[in-house]
Amino acid sequence: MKDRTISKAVRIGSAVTALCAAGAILLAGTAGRADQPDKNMPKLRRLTEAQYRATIADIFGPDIKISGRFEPDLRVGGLLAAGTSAVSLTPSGAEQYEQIARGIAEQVVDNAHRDRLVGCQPGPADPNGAACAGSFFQKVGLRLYRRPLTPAETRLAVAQTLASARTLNDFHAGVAVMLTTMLSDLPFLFQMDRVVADPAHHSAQTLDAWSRASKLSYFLWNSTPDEELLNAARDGSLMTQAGLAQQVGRLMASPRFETGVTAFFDDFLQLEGMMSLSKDSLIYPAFRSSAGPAAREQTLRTIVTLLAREDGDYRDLFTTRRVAMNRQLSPLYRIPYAPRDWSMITLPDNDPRVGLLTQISFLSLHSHEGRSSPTLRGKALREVLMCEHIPTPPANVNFTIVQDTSNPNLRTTRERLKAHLDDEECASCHKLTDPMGLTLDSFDGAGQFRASENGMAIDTSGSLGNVSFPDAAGLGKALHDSPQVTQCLAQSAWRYAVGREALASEEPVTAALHNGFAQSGFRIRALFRQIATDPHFFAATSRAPIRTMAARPSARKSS
Amino acid sequence: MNAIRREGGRRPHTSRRLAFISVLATGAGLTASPSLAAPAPLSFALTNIYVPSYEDDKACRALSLSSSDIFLQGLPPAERVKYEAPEKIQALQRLMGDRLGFKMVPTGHASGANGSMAAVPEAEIEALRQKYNIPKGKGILSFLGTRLAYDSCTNPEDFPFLATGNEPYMGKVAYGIDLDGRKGKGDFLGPNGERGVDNELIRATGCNFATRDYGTPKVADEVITSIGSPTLVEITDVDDPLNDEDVTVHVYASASPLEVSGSGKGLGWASLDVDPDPRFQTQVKGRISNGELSTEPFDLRVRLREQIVDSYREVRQARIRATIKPGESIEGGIYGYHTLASIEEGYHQSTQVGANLTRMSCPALIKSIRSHADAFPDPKSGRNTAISSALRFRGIPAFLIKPGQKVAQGPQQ
Amino acid sequence: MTNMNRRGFLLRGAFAGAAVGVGLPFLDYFLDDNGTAFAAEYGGGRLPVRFGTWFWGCGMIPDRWNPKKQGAGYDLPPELAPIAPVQDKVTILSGFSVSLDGKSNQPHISGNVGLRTGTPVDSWQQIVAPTLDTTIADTIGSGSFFRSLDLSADGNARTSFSYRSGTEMNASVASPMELYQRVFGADFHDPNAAEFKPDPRIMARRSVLSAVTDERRRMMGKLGAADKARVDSYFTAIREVETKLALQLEKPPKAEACVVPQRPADMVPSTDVIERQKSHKLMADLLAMALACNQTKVFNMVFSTATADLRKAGSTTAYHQATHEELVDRTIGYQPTVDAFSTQSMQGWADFVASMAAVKEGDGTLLDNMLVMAHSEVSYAKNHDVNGIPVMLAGRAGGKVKSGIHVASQGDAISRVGLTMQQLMGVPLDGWGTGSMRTNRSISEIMV
Repeated sequence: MKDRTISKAVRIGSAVTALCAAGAILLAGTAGRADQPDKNMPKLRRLTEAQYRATIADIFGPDIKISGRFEPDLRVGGLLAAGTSAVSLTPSGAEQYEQIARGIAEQVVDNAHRDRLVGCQPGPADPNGAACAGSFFQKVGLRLYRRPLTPAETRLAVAQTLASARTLNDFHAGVAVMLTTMLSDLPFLFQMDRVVADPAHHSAQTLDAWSRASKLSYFLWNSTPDEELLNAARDGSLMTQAGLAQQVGRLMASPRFETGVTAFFDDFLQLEGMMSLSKDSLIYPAFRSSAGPAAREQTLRTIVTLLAREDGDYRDLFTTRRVAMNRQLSPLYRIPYAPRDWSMITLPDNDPRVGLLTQISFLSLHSHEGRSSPTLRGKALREVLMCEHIPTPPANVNFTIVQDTSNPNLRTTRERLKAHLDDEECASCHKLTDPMGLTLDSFDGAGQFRASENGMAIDTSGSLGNVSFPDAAGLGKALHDSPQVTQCLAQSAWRYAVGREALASEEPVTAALHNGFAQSGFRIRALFRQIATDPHFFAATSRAPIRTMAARPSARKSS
Repeated sequence: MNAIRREGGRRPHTSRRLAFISVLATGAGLTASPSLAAPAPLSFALTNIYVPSYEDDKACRALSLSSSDIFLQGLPPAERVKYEAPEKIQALQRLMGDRLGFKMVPTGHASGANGSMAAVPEAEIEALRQKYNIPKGKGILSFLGTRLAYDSCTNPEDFPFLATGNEPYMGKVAYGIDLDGRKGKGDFLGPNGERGVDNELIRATGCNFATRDYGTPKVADEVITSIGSPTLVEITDVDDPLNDEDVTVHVYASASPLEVSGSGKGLGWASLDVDPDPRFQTQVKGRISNGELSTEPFDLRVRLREQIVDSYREVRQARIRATIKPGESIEGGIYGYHTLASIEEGYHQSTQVGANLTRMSCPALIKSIRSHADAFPDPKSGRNTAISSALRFRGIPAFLIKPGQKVAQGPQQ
Repeated sequence: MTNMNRRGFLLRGAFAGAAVGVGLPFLDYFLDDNGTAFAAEYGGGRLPVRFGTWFWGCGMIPDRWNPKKQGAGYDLPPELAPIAPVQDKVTILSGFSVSLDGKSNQPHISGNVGLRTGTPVDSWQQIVAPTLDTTIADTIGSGSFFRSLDLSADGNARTSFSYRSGTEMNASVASPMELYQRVFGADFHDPNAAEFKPDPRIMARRSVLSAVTDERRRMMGKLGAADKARVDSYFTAIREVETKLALQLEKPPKAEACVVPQRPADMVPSTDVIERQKSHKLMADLLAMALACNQTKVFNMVFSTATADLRKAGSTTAYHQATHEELVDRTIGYQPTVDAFSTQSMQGWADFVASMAAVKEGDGTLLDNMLVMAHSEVSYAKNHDVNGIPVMLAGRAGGKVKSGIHVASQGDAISRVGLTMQQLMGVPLDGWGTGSMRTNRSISEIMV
């Protein structure tokens, strides 16, 4: 689905005219929003669609089908994860969840699944099934609510199950009705943080063990806590630094960590738009409907291989010639590709494609349906990779000054967009975006390479701030060398992990994260570990004491 | 390898090599930097190979009769009246099948991978014959092995009364070249005025409905056939794709299907596996002059997998003439003596179902091509086993993946 | 809204901790606020009045859209030509504007937000009031299966301009097939079906849902203000689900105009304008039947989003890009491609009106018993002009409203339109909008 928040809703071809100031790094919410007036931080985060699906697969098995339409997740400050603490439920969303829940519950109790998933039924010792219902809902309730059921909740679950079973004359049908309701219940659909006194600092508060388990698991695996993590919550070890470090280590050593890394970059790079990306089939016939999802997977596989599996330097994403490839995408790249399935390849040294920005996902996502867009690409570069915000035009902007641009003498995009940069009013914003986007214009709207446009060679020179470069490789290097890029990644990872906008009071936290990130050689593993074990990760209020890093072992090596 | 100037000017700042290459798999990653010494080949996947028909309203007195036309004519008048109307055609065809004892029975096998014929043991086929009263030794595997069929196409020899009504092509112009070096009286003129064109195949089949109406380049150039296993053409030892006295042309079958782009045409630059079947691997010397490729004569076999048919075309002493637009297309013809065996195999596999759909009579067509065959006499019978012909083809750029050889790689323009 | 006190009492009585069998459906669900049964309203009484919005992106070319003559029998400028067959059913409101009060003109957003919420802001996430359709839905929407139906013909669930708050967007049903499934799928009860048996599974679902939700509400601890608001929305949303389930337990009143439509063919969403018109028309026909079958009383339909993504297949330039980049052709005095797309959008509107008018209902048509407000987010898109944003009305709101007239304003606040719509639908407002968009003057020219 295409994202429709402010950054994408404004698809401007050539007419952003404004007197703009340069954007500032997004640390404290979107433009116009000051530090939250509410002293407490949001304690509810709705599960995203991906999290919901992974959660059901983990609890009931991957063969349980989930059908229905999810309420769209909200992107706040560039992250769907940050929107989880802003959204609630609309009536139509609630209706959909109840339907999805009904479908899941019916499968859980069907003949194929009930033995494994329910595991008991009414019998001579338990004629109405009350004992079975009790044990089932205690077991499943712990997984669904990510904490133990209270005795009242258990009693209610049993009572409702038996009442429905009587109405429907079928025990398992009664179980299904209660399960449907639990799957629509607040503690399932939302991560609900609960607060307790901090065992280390009794005057302060912190998140309880169950909340910690939930937060850790959705951050590192993008799914619900597994049995072992729930046990660590139950026995209190998650409330200690040592216990926490151990669980973090376990979660990150697992192959499931790669899913977590994939989920982060999918959100950070806003790639879900690729699932329904379409291009004009006459202008870009090679970009078939399967190309968007394949390009998204390509980028995510490349990132996971380089950063999670090989523990590489984040900045190298912009200068690497290595990329995941398959036979679906190789025609768009016009390269031969022998393996039948995905594998990592290295493009030759003189290939014009270097790094993430020259992968088809970025190029095609930030283009029009029938042509490229340097402005959209430059804007995405600034907003997504550098956390900058291209400001809104001021009140009295006069759009009539935009030059008419379909002059037949203007053959390349650079010439057509010249008006953006020549005209002072337009330039104030467009100089932030166009110079980088124009460097990428040797890749058309579907991401295919072209040396010329309408018979004229494409000039790929450009600049990013003070740094000039002749081509996309140079742009990649400029991003590699830019501290803003790594700072943006670090603070985005923080916002992603905590599921909300960063507070102004958290500036020292994100600064420390970036320092750690830098010291580790910009390793994602190190960054995620640092976030998960940071005391602020489980802070209950915005006034949590800031602890120094001195107490922690220095030069932490990533595993 | 020389740097080639492309249309639209050179790309600045980096030296780009136009690498028209075939890539060879090792299964692991691909190495970078192709060697500068060996010239890179051009490679294409052919989207269609067909018998081209020259557009000429007056070339046929009438369309050749279909088997159901002939059958209808043979009915007693009272019955004929009942089945004459066009909307009765299916009933007529059913009647024909019943009366003439046609059979179409399931074998219980699924078709092979990629639109290929299933392998069914002969013993099973014989058992099916017995079960369904098909004469011993008659009937063939059809519909890619999912059926055993017995009818006037699988066994035309059993239905001689259907071998009639074929209209010869009477036009003066036909696609083709002078194969025998003689400008005989019966030879055609080529579309561009060439003299001595040898194309008895068109003479024999040119008034067939499918050839006339769907065989013109205007129609057939846009069609994709044998999509499950297109023919691959690779030209190696090329120093200059526009002019080179000595190149080698390789022809293969593809083990990978051709994909279709968003505009319905073949998807260019796909990586396609070369089929290891040696029967479909041939090569020949040729030259390129001003972008026009021509080869020495050679014996050629290309796969023809189209819907229910998994067959082949075999042309002896074939010459290829084609126009190459590097990085864009290849377009041209294969001129030589098409073996009757390969044509007839195609007709057999079409079965009566195909004959009904394309309004042909297999016995009549086979009789016609046999009588017009003009080359390669069989030593024992003295009858000619091949017929002069022209085939036309079009192709799009493709990467050929061959097993087990060293890898080279580079992007294409 | 259902009467909470009465319902709460009944529930406590039934479920106070003990395991009690689920009883008969609670009759109070089927009484409206005045305690009169809905059945009377549909069966022998007045037909319900429905409200909807219809949206198209990138406005129009003012000189070629705004009629010159006011009142009835107005002239049809070239871009309005497609509405000729339904002109007597369409009222044009021209010249109404969004006042920015010094705020920035956020392209394609400020105008739309100003029109629909009464206060322009920079992004939908920052709106200060709900969109007027949600307010109307809160007033008239209860008692039908869907409080409102939000639709988009572009295949994207996020194309919606119906917001309860900045974080509560009502996602759209975005394809004909999905609309069919949603309204006429497994949960649909034909109001004219002879047989009706309440499904015990639905009884069980509703009763368990309400019991568990009530308990959950009681167990909620102290929350921050923002979280509390979100939790309240959650409970309100779940309450809606319960209400829907309850409705399914009662035989629906007959709807004489209701004819269950055929399942539509699956259409791939497309930005090609011809394909868009087809999928839109299919959805309009389904919507008309959903309204005639009383499945909802409020709807929002988006023909093309703000920054209209419409294009012609094979063209590198889409509608929106053309508005900014196409030269004004000096020989004719306007942008020809933009003009064409604007006219095609008006064709979509004409199709929509015709779909509503095609259904006979009562003494007239479905259209007579509804009021639709059509609008765009700008007037002249090249300049992102929020002055003179085009608005059209169709339908006679059950006889309360004239149709087929042109009311021209000289720059009045467009919140007058929103105010008028809400008042006509029974929202108790004497004023609407903030700042210089604040108004208490409704548009009396359209009242009967």
